[in-house]
Amino acid sequence: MSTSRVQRYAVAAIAISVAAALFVRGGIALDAAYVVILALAFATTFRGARKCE
Amino acid sequence: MRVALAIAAIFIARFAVGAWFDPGRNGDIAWQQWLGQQIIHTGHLPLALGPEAFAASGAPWVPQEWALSILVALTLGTPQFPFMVLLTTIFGAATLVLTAWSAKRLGSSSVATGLCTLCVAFSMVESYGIRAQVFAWALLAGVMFVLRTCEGRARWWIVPLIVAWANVHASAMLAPAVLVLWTAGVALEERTWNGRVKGYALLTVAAAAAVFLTPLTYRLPLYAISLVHSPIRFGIQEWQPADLSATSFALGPLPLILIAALLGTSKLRRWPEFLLFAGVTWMAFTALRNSPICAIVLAPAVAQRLTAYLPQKIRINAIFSERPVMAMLYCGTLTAAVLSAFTLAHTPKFINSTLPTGAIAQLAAVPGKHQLLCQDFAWCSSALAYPNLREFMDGRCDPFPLPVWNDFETVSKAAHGWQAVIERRGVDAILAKNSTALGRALPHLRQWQRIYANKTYRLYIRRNSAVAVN
Repeated sequence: MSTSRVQRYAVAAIAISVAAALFVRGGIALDAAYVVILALAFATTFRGARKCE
Repeated sequence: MRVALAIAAIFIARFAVGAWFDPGRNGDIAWQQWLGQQIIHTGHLPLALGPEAFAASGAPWVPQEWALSILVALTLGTPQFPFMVLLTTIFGAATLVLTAWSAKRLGSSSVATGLCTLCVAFSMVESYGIRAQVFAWALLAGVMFVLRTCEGRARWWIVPLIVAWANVHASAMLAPAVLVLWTAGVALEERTWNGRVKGYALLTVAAAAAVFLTPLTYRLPLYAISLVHSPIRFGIQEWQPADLSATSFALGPLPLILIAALLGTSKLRRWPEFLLFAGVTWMAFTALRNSPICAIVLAPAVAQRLTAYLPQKIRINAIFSERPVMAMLYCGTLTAAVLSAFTLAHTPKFINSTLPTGAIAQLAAVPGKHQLLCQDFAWCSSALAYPNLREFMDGRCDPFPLPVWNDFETVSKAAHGWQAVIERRGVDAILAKNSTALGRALPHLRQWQRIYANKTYRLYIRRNSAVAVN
């Protein structure tokens, strides 16, 4: 799967989980949103990290 | 930086008006004034609740907001009160300026800095007032500024900043946690125990030691740690998870979190920034009161990343280097600042007191001593000023034991068994909102009578209560 497609899926997942989490107020949806956001941040932060080293 | 300062000007005006009218809207100021007077009178910090809290007398108390309380006691109701307002406004402004300056030193463009400063300002608006957190935010912004932009010995400025922070608010415990994450990030980047990692590790140890440098010594960090998992959080609105209806979250940290998640963090500080992002994002999601903290920590790093997509050379940034444009911007924002301050200062909902101080004064005028339960514990803070009133729970809220909290929840919601609780606890006066279940139930109580009522509140006392309490 290409990087851009992964990013598109990740953006969709982030939007859905954040919206769900914020309206459900807490619980497992909030945790899920946090994990998705973290995964996306990690993916974008460390994208190409090896090339720079 | 100029764009950010122009944005800050509007919010500074908002902050100043907010602080000026805060005593009429913020129930905490009354207990802070009372605490400050106690400290000035006795010369030491009280470490337990006194007889004024009749349901929890003797419970351990860590009066972490002692410094602000002394300032409030010295200024509230005196000609020096404008000084208190000015000081609070300066700290609010300092948070925005330090955030913008930090972004600028990281090489952020004008618009990127302005946008991120705007998010920090929005994150602060809802919680802003004469509150210890406001001073803590500026100190956090200072710590982040030093951490991101200073090298060598200059980094040690973090230690006095943390000492000042610990003497203002228990959230200073956040500083060693930030340093731990940052040091772990640096160690992951360096992949060896070199001088840079050692330097940050030493700074982390110094930061942890700095939080002990208050009159409360070891009690402050213990208190802060106990609060993280405290069961009383369920009863405090600010500790509830964030949601989109809260402006301070939706327009504050949320845009910054989303931008950081989509654009990533700086390649120069990958791991430290990522670990910090993970920590403060979790904080922002779990409690509304953490919104400003998350925004202050993220904003400069997000502005730096956003600059890759909004570089200084593009027209939208370059335009702000032209004098006529800047003159227009400053004129516009200053007009907006004056107009928003003027409008707020003439908005009855904003300037009129929302606290039931009249009802409490009425109760104090009834001869004898009274044991009062307020449906919102913050209302009872103003009862501390009257020697003949004792409170079931007041705005200090943290030191009240869990059984007292549970009984408070039962009565305030008029839940099953609430009448048995007031009998068992010896409550002889209840203040409630008319529109609530408790407010509607009070007129049906036998042996109780109404002594105060207005559009919003009603106060009932037990008949012959003056002789019921010694």
